[in-house]
Amino acid sequence: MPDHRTDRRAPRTRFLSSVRLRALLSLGVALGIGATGTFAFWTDDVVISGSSFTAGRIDLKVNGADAYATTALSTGAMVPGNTVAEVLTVQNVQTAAAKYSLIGGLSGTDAAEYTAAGANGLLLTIRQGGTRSTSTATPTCTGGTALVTDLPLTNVTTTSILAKRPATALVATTGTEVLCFQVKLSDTAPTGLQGKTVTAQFTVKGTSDIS
Amino acid sequence: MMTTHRIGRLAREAFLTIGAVLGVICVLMTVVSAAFGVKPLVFRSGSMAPAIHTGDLSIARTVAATSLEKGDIVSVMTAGGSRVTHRVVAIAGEGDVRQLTLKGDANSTNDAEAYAVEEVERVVLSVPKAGHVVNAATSPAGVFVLGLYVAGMLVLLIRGGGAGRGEPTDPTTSRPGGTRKAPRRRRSRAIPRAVVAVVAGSVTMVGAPAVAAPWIDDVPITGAVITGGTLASPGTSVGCVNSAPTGSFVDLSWSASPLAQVYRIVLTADYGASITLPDIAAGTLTRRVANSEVAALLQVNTTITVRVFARAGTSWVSTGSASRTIKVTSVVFLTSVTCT
Repeated sequence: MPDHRTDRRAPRTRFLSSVRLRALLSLGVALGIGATGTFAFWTDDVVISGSSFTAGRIDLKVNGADAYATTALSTGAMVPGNTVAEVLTVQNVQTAAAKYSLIGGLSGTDAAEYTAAGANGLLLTIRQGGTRSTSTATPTCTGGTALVTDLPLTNVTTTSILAKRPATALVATTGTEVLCFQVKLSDTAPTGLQGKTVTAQFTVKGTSDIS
Repeated sequence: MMTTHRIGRLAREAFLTIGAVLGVICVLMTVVSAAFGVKPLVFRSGSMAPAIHTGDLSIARTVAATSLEKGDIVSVMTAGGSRVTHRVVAIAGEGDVRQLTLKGDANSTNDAEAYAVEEVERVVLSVPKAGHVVNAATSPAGVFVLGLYVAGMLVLLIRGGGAGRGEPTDPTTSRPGGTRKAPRRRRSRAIPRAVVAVVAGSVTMVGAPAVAAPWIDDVPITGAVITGGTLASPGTSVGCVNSAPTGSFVDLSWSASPLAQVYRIVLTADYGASITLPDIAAGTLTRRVANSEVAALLQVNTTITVRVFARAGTSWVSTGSASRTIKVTSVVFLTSVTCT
């Protein structure tokens, strides 16, 4: 064995520096990994340390359907002060957490006239966790927490109604939120709205971006 | 004993060599990134599947918005401050700024937000699964391991091959020709290297880039047909009965209007003046009018047109009305009201 050692003496200096060189070069890994974050910093990106992956996907349903046709929001012959109401449950049935926003408005040939009526037209109220009163011919939403109150509906169907919510995302598979929708024809509706028909349409926009 | 040493030494040698090769690659990538505006993006979700899956690492390059084409995959910041990486489906706008409509390949609908950009990161290529490595390395555990790695390399830098070869670490014995000067020289060289290593190590604490290709899912709610009702006229004519004592009262009556919330009676004299009686609740279809109520309209002999309207809310009025005429006369200083 001592012979072995003696044999390696000659190239030793080079070999020693090689170890150091390699050690130094190895540090480049840290630099490389750090660089991704560093670059993010340079370009004003939001940096999330140890970011989590969203495996799976999201699938939101309203009352169990991917496209829901309301049953109780339709009405014939509304007069000022009348309301319609329906409880809609937003569910996240897939494997990733989700948040949602809500847009909506009026369509149909008479939508412009309801839009022109503004606060004297159709007014939307949404109560989270609310229930539909069944005691009167013009049901309302009661209880829960009002998310919007008497918001005038317009003929722009992409109007934002609810910003991305809830604060705590709907958990995968079981996350739900109960929303009671109430549409009221304003007490002060102009007489010109008699006989005018519109379709109220909404879209629940789900996203896995729960930031 | 010797075999264990040998295996340990071989492992160290292999580790060092692999580390050095990876290190060179990383440094080269870093230099290239800096030189060409290239940026790595780790995909946190899978809405760009099957083109890019969760955990893939993409290389993106900053380009002018004017050079984009439909079908490019770009990474933009949302108004909410998070990053979205989706495919361009529409480009609008003039000048340097473009409004981009993006859509995840696996999403059924376009992103809600249109992104106005002047410069944008365009994805050039993507490496499957590599994002997991970056993500693991920048997790708390990964940073810890990386810290150990950096510390180990630091030790090798300072102590040189003695430790690396598993031989006696005393510099004076491992280097027979050297004396006290050797350690001093190494120490002096080790200090700048240590600084480099510590800086490199601390850079890792900055963390991974936040990149998302979020799933989106739209659920339409339709079928809410809302119709404003039409207030029907409460019949065409108003019934009128003289009530005893004649001249003192007339009893008016009309038909029900289904949607009416109230009825309103308007009395208009033949010379133009009119009065409106207080509204009558929808359930009531008759009204007794006393001579005193119409006295204000009296001008010797006056014919008054009675109109009954259906009303709802503050402003809804039926287009048509039920009507008839009544007569108001003066009989010995007393006002007399009678049906005609």
